[in-house]
Amino acid sequence: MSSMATTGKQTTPRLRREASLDEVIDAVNELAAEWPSAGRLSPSKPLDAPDPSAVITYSEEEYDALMKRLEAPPAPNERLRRTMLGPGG
Amino acid sequence: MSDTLTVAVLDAPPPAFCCGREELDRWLEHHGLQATRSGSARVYLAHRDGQLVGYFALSAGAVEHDSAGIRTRKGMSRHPVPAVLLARLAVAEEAKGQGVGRELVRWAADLTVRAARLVAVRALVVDALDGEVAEFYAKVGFTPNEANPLRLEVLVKDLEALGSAQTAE
Repeated sequence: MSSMATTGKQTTPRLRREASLDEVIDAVNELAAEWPSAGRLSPSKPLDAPDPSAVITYSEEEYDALMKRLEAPPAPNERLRRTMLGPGG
Repeated sequence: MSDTLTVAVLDAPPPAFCCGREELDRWLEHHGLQATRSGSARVYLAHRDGQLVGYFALSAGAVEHDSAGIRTRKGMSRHPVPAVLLARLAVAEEAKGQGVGRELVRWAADLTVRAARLVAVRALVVDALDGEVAEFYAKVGFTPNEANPLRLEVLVKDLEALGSAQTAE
């Protein structure tokens, strides 16, 4: 699975194909930091034609690991609930 | 045998204790009282039917923002995240397999919530000695840190949502 982000300018590739998840995240953050000053989205530079040098590619495993991290439990887990109920719970 | 644990701060030289891990036994015997008196850690002894069945120690601390778990650092400014550290926890050999460890965690969590009412605390954090110990903490509800599986965390807001410390008033 892959995802793409573009700034519309020539940038150097930030990732190796075998980049770790942390490297992927760092690269995305770098791109995001550039975005506000870029102002590069326009009808003449549609999203479906990204600059090839700004494409981030990652494996399905890395994507799954990232999603797992982003989808960390939103509420107390069942194990914690059992602990906090105490011996009579 | 009673299920009820009596937990109290260590305020005198502790009785003999053996949990099967020499470093934890030795720490309680040689450093526990001094740690409590000096303010580096507060040590709590758990008794059942008059017998010492376990102990744990709590310290105030902080976790670097970048090394905190995703939920722990979510919404926090990029400063160290205030936490209570579960510095030690041990169960006596003869009391293992009876839920004492889980009870000690519950006590530690309750005390953390009570402390958080006076001083901001984001999470209760523990650094497990090894993978087996980390499994125990995960089993009782801690969440492993995504970057460091030997560090596990519980958010105070989760403990509060579960009503922690309401019965410990």
